[in-house]
Amino acid sequence: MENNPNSSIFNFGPDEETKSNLSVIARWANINAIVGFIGIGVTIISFIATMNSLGRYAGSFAGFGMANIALSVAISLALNITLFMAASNVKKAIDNSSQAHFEIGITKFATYFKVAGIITIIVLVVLVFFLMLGILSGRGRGF
Amino acid sequence: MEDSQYDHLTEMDLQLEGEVRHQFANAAIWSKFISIVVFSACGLMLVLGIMGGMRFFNSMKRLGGIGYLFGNFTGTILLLVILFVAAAISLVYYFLFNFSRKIKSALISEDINELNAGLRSLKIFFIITTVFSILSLFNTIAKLVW
Repeated sequence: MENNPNSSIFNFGPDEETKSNLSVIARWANINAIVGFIGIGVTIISFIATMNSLGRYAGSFAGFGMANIALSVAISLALNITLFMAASNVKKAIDNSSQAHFEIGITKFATYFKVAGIITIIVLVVLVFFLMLGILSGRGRGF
Repeated sequence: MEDSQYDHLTEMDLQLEGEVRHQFANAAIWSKFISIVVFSACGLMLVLGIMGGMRFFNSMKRLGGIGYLFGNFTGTILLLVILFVAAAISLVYYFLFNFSRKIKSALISEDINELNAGLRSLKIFFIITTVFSILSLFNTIAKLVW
């Protein structure tokens, strides 16, 4: 068997291009998360402004709207915190060559995609449910 | 002895072993699922858009005269807008799909070039989604202010 003096026991290790790509991904993911946090704040302000302009007419809509906004904010916050942590850990890993931070960062990225995937499944289930409801109510009316 | 062990550990660079490989594989699976769902949603949006456009066009045609012209023009514009939006969303999520495909292939073949190609796709995906997020944020703020 031929021995290659340049080969290492870790053939599948990140090179300079990998690190550069990871660094750019971390930077943009960080900006994405920060924009997400600002977006959450703007959504809350926008909701409060709408409720104020509706005044006493808000009534029953306020409760439904509040629950809706609370759910959206919680999901968005969880996703953006995960993305922010992923980005900052990957950045630390590249800057300090820290394997521990690298593991945490990639795990957080995987969690981010996992949570986004689970939300996609939930949205799909809700859409199918409403579609079935629409079809059934259409049949009930004789369409 | 302890110091010497520590030195060896700090000399090591980042490794794509164990947990990191497992998490890359997880990210690839979920990103593939998300991109396929988005591609399907774009296809559905296109079909529903064409059906809605046809209905609108037919109802305007029945009015005749200016209604026919208006329906023809608006129907075409509506179709073009839907086509553009579906193509733009599909293009963005193509990069996520490509990331998933390349990472999976890189983990199987242990090819660093495939891994870099996958990360390049993820980089483009994050750049585009971030730019869209910023534009969307500006739009929301503008609506709120004016």
